[in-house]
Amino acid sequence: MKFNRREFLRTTALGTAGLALSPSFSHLLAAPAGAAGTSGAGGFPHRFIFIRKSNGNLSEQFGLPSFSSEERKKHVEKQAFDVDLEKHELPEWLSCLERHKERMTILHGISMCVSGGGHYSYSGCLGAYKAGRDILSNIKWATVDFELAKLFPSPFGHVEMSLAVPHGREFRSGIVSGYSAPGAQQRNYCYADPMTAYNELFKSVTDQNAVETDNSLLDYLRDEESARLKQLDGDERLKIDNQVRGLEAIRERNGKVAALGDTIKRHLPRLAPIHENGGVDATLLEKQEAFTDVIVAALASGLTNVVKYTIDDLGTDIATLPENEAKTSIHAIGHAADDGALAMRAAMQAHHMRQIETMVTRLEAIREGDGTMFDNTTIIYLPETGAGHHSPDTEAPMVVMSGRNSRVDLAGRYIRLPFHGTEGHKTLSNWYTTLLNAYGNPMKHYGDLDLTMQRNRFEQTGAIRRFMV
Amino acid sequence: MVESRILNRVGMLKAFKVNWDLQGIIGKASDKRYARPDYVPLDEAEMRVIEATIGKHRKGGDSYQAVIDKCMGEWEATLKAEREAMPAPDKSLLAELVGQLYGRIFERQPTEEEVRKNTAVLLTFMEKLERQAAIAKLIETLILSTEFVYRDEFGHGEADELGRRMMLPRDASYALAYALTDSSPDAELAMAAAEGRLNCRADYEREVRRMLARRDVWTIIDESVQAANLNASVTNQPIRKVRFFREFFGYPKAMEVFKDDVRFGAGTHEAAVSRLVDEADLLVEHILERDRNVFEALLTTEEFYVYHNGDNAAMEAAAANYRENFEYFSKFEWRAFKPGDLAPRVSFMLSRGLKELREYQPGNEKKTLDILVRFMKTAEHQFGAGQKNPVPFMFVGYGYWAGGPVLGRTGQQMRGEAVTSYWNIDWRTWDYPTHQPARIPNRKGLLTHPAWLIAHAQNLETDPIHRGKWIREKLLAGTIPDVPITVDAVIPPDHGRTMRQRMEERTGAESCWRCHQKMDPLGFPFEGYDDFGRYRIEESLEHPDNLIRKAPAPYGPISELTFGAMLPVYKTLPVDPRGVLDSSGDARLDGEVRDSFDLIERLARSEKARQSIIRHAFRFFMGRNEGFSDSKPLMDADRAYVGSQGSFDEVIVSLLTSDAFIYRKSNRRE
Repeated sequence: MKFNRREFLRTTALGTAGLALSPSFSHLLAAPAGAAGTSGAGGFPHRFIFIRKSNGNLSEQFGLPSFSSEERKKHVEKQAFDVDLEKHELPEWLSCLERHKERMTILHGISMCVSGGGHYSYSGCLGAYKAGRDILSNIKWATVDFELAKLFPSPFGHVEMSLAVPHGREFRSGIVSGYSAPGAQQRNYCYADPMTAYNELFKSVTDQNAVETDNSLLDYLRDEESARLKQLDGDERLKIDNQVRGLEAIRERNGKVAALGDTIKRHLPRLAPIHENGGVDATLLEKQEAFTDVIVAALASGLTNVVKYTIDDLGTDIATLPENEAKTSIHAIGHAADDGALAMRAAMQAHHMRQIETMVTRLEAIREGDGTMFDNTTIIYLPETGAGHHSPDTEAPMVVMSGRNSRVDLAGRYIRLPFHGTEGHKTLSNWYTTLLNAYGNPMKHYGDLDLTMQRNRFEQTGAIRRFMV
Repeated sequence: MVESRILNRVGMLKAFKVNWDLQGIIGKASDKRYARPDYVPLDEAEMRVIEATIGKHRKGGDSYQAVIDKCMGEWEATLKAEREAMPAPDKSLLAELVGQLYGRIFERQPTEEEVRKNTAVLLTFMEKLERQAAIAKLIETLILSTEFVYRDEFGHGEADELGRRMMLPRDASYALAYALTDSSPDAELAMAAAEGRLNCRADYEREVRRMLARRDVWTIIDESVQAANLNASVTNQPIRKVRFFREFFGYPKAMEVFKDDVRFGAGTHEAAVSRLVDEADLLVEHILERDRNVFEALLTTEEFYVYHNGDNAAMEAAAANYRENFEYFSKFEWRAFKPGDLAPRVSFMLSRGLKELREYQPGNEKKTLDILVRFMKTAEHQFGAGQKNPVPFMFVGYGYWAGGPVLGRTGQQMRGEAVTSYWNIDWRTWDYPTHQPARIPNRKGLLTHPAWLIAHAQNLETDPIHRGKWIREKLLAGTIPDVPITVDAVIPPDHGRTMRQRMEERTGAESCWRCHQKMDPLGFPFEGYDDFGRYRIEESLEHPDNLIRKAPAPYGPISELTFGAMLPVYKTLPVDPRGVLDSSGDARLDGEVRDSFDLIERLARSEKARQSIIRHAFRFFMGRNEGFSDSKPLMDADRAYVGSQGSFDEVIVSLLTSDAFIYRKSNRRE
């Protein structure tokens, strides 16, 4: 069998090799003018963890049990208002984050019509565009996590983890295609199991042989391609030169990672043997816990400042969840509207929140400047497809955990913004523009425009001013 | 995973290798050819090893998978230990490995120097890694090299009397293959290169003509079209021919223009527009297949594909089946039918009935009756005005696996009947032409195809500027400078005036007109179509202040719909489709034009337009812009087109056998 080059490039081969040697997109990670770089608060970068989940977030589950009747009426009728979380109880599934309420936001009213999607939104929910199907040509621009990663450069730039299992498959492990995008028509690659993430991210301290062979490979290629350069002129020389520079950049990056060796060792997680060889026998909760360990360690070590984590999609197997006695699936839960389905949604969300609680607690335990690492971190838990399994996309309830040094002013509140298609409504594009403007990217508007807002002739570009510090 | 599932999947895979039609596969499920494979035991020695290992590891309560995993674990560990206990592989074995990898990855054999270098680097890897990992690392090295990423198209060898060099035959074979297809050289081309039969112009011509004539390879045209709505989007033409015109006309971009479903009014625009693009590709393929006056046909044809799979016989049979069922059940008081009334009609239903009626059996009478009633109510509209044929769309929604009245080229269900709405046609009542491409009123060529019109429109409005810019640059070989940075390029809104009126006030200003005179007069004729590509003579002034009547409610009377769409009614103003053609290169063609048809007819007769297309073809198939020294290949290509009654194949042969393609600059820095 002959391998067609274009097929090879389209498959994970180059991508995985690139990811293993990453960053293959280092030239895209150059910070734009005005980037905060490491000059966040106290000279520390700001970290972001985007946690996306499937099946939408039901608005009723993201309300507060202690609403007054007037507040409840506004919540149900989707009228704009906000309340102080300190004066309220959290729903049961959020209760593990009770002691972190001061840093929590339950954000309602952001619409996802710009990304839409039906069952999946692929790169759309982080790119604020309709990605249609998971096709390369549908990726319009870099997703917001990559844009933020440019503002806070790091050796790995951007890291993506995923427990998604695309339709038609039963299991995924290794380095596979992800749902973020470093640029237009460029797909990112992600770690589909915790041990692969561990082996790749912490290789510099856990597997010296692998590091040395990687460096041998890079040195060999650099020498070979440099020799080729000598025979070339013009455009051809430029192409090969770019390749050589890319290899040198990865080599340089490996050097920086090696220099972080002591820090990495200090934060190195331990993963149970059950995660070896893809962790085919690991339960879902074991995988979630292991990924949390890896994420925290990667951030704490300074290997990356931005993590995108797909904690589930419709194909993720939830048979091992203790609450799942009926052995149902996420997709089936999405279609059902009965109490059992609601209970399972709450149970899954509760498990997600436990992971977030672990992340917050561990980051709080790491001193940074005159505070903690969590002070310089924002965690965004968002649905892939709005407020339900297929729809509606007119709202997308989120939970945001933001540290003390956050440049976005929304902590400690339940906030409901004006509903879709009404004056003052804010879309996913506005939300991401807010994050980008707050952290140093002055772009006027990120993401697509919303057609309903356009049809109704409402202003819809720019950041959400009330959230800007 | 239980065993029966495994066996079922193996059977399905075997069936898929033969037949893409899912419905067909389901029908063949019991066919012996696709039955579960017969179990054949291994030889006795192997069976003894297996039985012993199973006996060693199996514990009570183990699943099959657990036992298999334990046995595999032991065998893998044993094999690994044996491998590592072996002495270092000798150099000839490593050389053989390098040769195999080169053959698979680079499709050639390595030189001695390459064998030496790669063997050395492999040994370096083996010092640190386990052998399989080291081999994987070598594969990574080869894939990351520029040879894998870039193709070499340099001239080699001795220069001829004019100082020119040809590509090496192997490089030339790749250049030709990727000029026409998405693949490496086919077997014949590879053999020609290897056997020294790709060394001269005649050799190139022979191979190009052979590849142009192939129709036995199907290629996906556009994954995003396929994925959007089960569209086929495949062709058996050399794919780059179709791709050239897709890129040239730009109509695939219709899928990227964000449109409001409410303004489309006929369901989901995203689903329908993908069929629109698929059928534009079908039209291009049809015209290329005929290969006669290709450019003129693309610009002026009045025949199009609209909700068609390209197979006239299949569409005719499906429409006939609908008619037959309608005529049969019309003889009865079907409105008063009870479920029990179906039994006397079983014979017809099972032999001549619609797909859904053929599934009738005792027990599902009520469901079948519901479907029958839905069909008849739909069919009353389809035949109610004396139509001969209906659009054979699914009147009941089915999952993608369930097939339909007619299937697409890849055996997938046909969807997206609302595509007719873009053509000012209601699929529910259209007297459907089963043989296509068929004449569609008020259309002429790809520039009036809704896909092109949408691709060159804004989200909510038309875009005469970009439509005119396209014509200026692509057909009149002109250039338009970028928008000056001091300009706020926005047409002010005014819901009391047409787009043209608003534009004329803005772009008609002296400072703007210098550039806009090259675009606007060419774009205004297409104001005869809205931003969904629907033909119009009145322009709706879409604004709440101008609303006359809201859009009809869903499931209301068909008479309230507009081309099958639920659209509101606004005040209107007449469309002014006049324009001006200049710089066509022919004074007899230049001048004021009445409308888009007049403009298109003139452009189709313009020598400059023809030559502009050929220039773009040069760029596409050569992979570079033309320079002064390319004037002869360009003129030759034009003559080839004219001299062959407009054959695009002859243009391609001319280009790929031209000096511009055959001779390349040298690799050597001289």
